[in-house]
Amino acid sequence: MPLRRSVLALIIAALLSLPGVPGLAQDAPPEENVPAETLPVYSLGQQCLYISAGLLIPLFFQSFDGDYSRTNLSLGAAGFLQWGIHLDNHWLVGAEFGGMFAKSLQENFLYMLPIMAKGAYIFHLYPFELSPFLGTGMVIEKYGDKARVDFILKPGFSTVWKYNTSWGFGLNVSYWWVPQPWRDDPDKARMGNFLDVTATAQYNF
Amino acid sequence: MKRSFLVFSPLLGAALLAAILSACGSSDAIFWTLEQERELVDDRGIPDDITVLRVVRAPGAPARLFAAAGRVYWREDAAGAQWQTVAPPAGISGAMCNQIEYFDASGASDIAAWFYNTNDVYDNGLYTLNPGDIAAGWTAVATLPALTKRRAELLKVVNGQLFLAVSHYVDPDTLHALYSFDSAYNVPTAAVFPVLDAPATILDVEHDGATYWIATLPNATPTWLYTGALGALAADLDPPVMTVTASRPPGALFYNAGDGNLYLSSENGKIFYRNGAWSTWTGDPVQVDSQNVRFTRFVKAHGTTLFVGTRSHGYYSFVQGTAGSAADLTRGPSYNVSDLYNGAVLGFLGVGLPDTLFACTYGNGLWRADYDAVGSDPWPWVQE
Repeated sequence: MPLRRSVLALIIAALLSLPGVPGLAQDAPPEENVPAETLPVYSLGQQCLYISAGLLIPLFFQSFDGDYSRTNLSLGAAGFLQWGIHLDNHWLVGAEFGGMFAKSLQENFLYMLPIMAKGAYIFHLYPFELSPFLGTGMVIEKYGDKARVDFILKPGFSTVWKYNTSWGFGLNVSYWWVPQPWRDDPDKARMGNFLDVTATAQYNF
Repeated sequence: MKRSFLVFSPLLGAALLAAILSACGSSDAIFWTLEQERELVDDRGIPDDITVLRVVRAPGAPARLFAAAGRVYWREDAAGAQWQTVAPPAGISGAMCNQIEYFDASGASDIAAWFYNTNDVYDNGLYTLNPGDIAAGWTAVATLPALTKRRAELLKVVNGQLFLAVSHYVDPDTLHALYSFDSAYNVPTAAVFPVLDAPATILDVEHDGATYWIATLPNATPTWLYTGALGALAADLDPPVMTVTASRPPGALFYNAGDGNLYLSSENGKIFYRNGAWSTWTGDPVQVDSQNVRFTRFVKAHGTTLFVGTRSHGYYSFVQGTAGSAADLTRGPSYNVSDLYNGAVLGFLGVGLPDTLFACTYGNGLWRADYDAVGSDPWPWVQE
């Protein structure tokens, strides 16, 4: 039953149970006030798919000694596909695959493809869902004819407006932290810091 | 607790896997490379997509640079100076230039250039220009041999002489001849090849301080390398490992007084050198993506570094006195200067201290690098 009808039915039942209202609750014994239970939106095994696209903002590079430097990258674009499975009404685990590109000062393109596991906790504030999440995994980087694989940590949060029980639309903001050690010359090791802001569409099934 | 464990355990597993993968070798410090990048363009008004065949410098006050790119361009050798076109000679309709040289022999101090008619390539000639008085225009060299269907193959100053190599037609064959002009452009001296040889395209001429060397395109004649006095050239008995062919011919000759070596590039991925005798190239040829690199012309810069261009992989450099194998050569520029790294460098101009290098490219205009002793890259290239 769609969520809206469930809520409406609950309201009607609550009204009918008031004293003096003819109807179903005439013989109910007097009780202390019992708080109504929150209706769960998700349950174990429910799955979801997200597709997201938007901007990637290169923030800064940082050496492992703490020095900051420019990225010499333009604003880029990012896109992701995510699959998740609900463990209960709040916890979600899943996997995400995506990519970004941005142009360098010398007009070459940097590509980064993160492949991550993700976990999220969903706060239900009907009709919105707010979910901080944490993704971790690997990112494949390519620049010119050079390629490498690095670790990525990607915290963020998502705000989704529930259009109905199946669809939702919203906004993701996430921070990319990509440490890039280099054994050949540790002075050239850097940590990449990026921010992505993407619009997202969610489908639950 | 159980659910949070279910959430975080795959995250931890993914993190561990990623850490292992990232530790398994790294190809380059990509973020550091991005951090070091600089602007690639120092627009001086020369088109970015033209083929620049040659650039030369005429010293003076001020010194001037001249570039052959179909049109002839010039600019002062000064910060911020802009390239301008030089009007072509009046005697040739639609004149295009494919050879240029600065002839600095005593009494000369000319820019010499070969022009041809775009509608009739055999309507051509050798012209000179006073670099200090460009407005005066070009003057035809009257002593140019009148050959049937002549075309220029090389224009180069060697040992105080201006050498001009031409192909010409003597029914039923196309022959190749080499002439040297003195500073007064008197009737040129013709190089005399061995009687029974009919040399193919003349690729380069060099003088090693004692004798001339001439590299030609390998063909049916017994040899492709000649040496000796111009009036009596002889075939050089090159070592058999100089495996050049018509499809992978020799490139250019370069005599480096610093190490006494005569270098010969080739399009089979090897650079040969001679100091008394030709040395054998050790090991494999230089390859990129399993293809032998095709070397072009040399220049020397910053005292002891020699640069050699390639037809599709930028350039390579080596320290003088080496280049006996692929391990001695370093590819340049940095891979993120992609237009030059993957481009065809037809030749260079090196201007003395402080070092400035110009690279002439096929279809990517003219590039310049001013030697930077303290930067992360000693040769930071910009496109003019």
